[in-house]
Amino acid sequence: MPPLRRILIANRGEIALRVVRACRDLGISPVMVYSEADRDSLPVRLADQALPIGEAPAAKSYLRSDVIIEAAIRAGADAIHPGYGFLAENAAFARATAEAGLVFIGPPPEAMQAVGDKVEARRLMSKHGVPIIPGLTDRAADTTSIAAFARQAGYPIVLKAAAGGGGKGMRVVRAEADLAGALRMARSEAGASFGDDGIYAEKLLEDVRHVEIQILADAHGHAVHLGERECSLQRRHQKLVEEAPSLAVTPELRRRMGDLAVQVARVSGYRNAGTVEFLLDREGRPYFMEVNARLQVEHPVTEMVTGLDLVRAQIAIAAGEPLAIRQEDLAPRGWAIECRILAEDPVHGFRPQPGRIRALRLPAGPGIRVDTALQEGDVVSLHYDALIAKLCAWGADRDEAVRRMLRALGEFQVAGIRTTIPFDREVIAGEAFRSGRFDIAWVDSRMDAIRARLLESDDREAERAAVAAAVASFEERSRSAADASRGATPDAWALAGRRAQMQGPAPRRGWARP
Amino acid sequence: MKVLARVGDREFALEVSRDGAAYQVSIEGREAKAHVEGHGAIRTVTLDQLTVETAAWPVAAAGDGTRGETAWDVVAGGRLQEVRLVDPLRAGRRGEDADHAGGPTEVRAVMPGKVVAVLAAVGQEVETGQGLLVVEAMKMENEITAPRAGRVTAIQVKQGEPVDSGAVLLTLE
Repeated sequence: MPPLRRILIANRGEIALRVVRACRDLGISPVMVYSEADRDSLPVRLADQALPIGEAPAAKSYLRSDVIIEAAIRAGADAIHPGYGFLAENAAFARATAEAGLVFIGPPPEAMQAVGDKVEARRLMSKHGVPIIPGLTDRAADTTSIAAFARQAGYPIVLKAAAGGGGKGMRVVRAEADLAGALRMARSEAGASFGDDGIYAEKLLEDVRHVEIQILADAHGHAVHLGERECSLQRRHQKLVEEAPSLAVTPELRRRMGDLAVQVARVSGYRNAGTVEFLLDREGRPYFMEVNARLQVEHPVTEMVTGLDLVRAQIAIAAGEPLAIRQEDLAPRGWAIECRILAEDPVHGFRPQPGRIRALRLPAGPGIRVDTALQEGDVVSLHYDALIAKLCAWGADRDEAVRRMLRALGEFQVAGIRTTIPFDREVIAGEAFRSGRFDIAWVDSRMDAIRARLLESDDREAERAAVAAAVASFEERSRSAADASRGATPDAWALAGRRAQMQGPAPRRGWARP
Repeated sequence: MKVLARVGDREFALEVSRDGAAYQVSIEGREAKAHVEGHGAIRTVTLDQLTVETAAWPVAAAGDGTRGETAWDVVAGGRLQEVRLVDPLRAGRRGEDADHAGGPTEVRAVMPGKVVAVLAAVGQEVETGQGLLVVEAMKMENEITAPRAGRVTAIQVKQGEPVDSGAVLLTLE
C-alpha cells in the first residue's frame, strides 16, 4: 500500500488539532471539515484545506457520514481520521469510507461490531478465557433471568445497555422490588440513545478501580500492549483525571493484563489503536469491561510514559506498515497525569458553561503538555462536548508529576467561563490522590466536601476578590462612558457581526491554502 | 463609585475612585491604594503590598436578576469567588421587595439549551429544591430546581423547545 499523502480529519476541537499536528510531523497534508460554529477554530486555521459540512448541531455536520466522505473525495484525501466520539466507532461509516476507496484510520468494521455489542463481546471474551464481570451473557427478555441471576449473585446489580456506553441506559438496582421499574427506564433510555433497547445485567462491583490497557495491532498479525492507564477518578462515569502507570498495578499484573488485552485484540480481529477496559478488584483481579475501538481522550499519558506517538502509529498501521516496536522493549518510564479541563461549573453540579473566552493563559514548562484548540475570543459552544483542554504533567516519579501538575494548574488561567481547574487542584492536592487510595466511587462520594472547599475563602481572599470585581466594574463603566462621550460607534468587529446577521452567514465555500 | 460587594455571606462597602495610574479604594471605612496592572480579564491586583493575580469577568445574572446588581466571577490563586456588586442606592429597595414576599418568582434559564422534560404542572405546590424542568446543553441534562417553595402559576416553555439564556421558563407564586 502506498504511504498516505492527504488525510481528512472528521472531528473538531483538541483532537482534530492533535491529528493535524501528527499529519504535519509525518509530512502528510491535513484537511479539515467544519461546522458553522467552528469556521474560525484553530485546527481549521492550521489545516491545508477546510470544507464546510453544515450547521452547528452535530447531527447536521460532524455526524453526516455521506457529506464527510464526499468532502474527502473532493479534497483528494486518501484517508479519513475520525478522532474520538462522533463517527469514530460507527461501523457503517468505516465501511462506507472503505467502499469510497478511502482508508479508514481505525479498526476494521467487523472488529468494531464484534466488540461494539457488549453482550456479544462478553460472550466472546468468556469463550476465550478472558475473565468477565459476573452477569448475564444474553440480552434479558424480561425481569425473570435478571432476578434469577441477582438472587444467586446478590444485590446490588447494574443494568447496562447492550449497544451502549457512557452511562446511558445504565441503572443500579439494590433490591428486587426496584428491578421492574429500573429495567423499564434503562430500556427506554437505551432505545432513545442507541436505537437498540437490549439490556443485560452485571453484578455491581463497587470498591474497584478502572484500569485500561492500550493496545496496538497491525495488519500483519502483530499486536503489543503499551501498559495501563488508571482512570478511577470519574464523576458519574465520566473520567476526570487519568494517570499512567497505575499505583495498583505491579509489573507482574501489567504483564498479565497486557496479555489479556492482546488476547482480546486477537479474538476480535482487532487492528489499529484500541483500549481494553478492565475493572480491578482489591485483590488485583481484573475483569473485562469493554473495548474502546478508537483513540482515547486520555492517550497522551501513555505517550508520555512510552515516548510513542499514538496518532502516528495509527496512521502507519492504516497505511499497512508493520509495527516497529517489540513487546520486550516496552516499559513505562516515569509517571504521567492528565486533568480533563471542562467548561463546567464545579461549584454548581458541573453545570455547562458555554460562552466566550475573554482571556486565556496556558501553562507550559518542563514536563507539561497541553492539548487544546482554545484561542482567546473563541466561543465554547453548547452544541459540543465540554472538554476544552487536556492538561498533562510528566515527572520522573509520581511525586514530581503531581507537583508539576499543581504548578501547571496554578498557571492555567481562563476568564469568561468557569472551568473545572479549581476542582482539579482540590483533587490533585488532596490526601487521597497523593496516597493513591481511591476507587471508582471516590469522586461521587466526596463531591459535597470538595464543593464546600471550592468556595471557601478567608477574609483577606474575600476582600481582595471584592476589590478586584469593584475595580474591574469601575473600569468597564468608565470605558463605556468614554466611548459614549466620544460618540464612538461599536467597533468594527461588532459592526461586521451585525452585517453578517443581516446578510446571513458568510459564503460557505471552504478554502484551500494556495 | 460606591458599591456593596457580597462574597459568600460577607458584605463589603466599597468606594472606588481613580488616583492617577492607581485606584483609591475605601473598604469598610479603611483607606487603601489598589494597583491594577494589565489589560483584558487577567490582572494583578495589589492591595496592602500583597500582589495577587486575578481573573475577573462579569457573568449574566442568573435567577433573581435584581436591577442594579451585577455578578462577577473572580479567580485568584486557583480559587473561584462569586462576587455580587450592588448599587447601594438600590440595595435598600431590594430589601423592601423581600418584605413583600409572595410576589411571583420567575425561574429563568441559566444557559441556552433545549427543554427535554417538564417535571411540574401549573397549579402544583412545590418545595424548595424540587425539580421543575430538565434542560439539555453540551450533551448534559441539567435539572432546574425551585428556588423557593410556592405554587406553579405558569409554565412558559414546552418539552423539546430551545431556550435562550435568561429566558423565563416557569413562574412561581
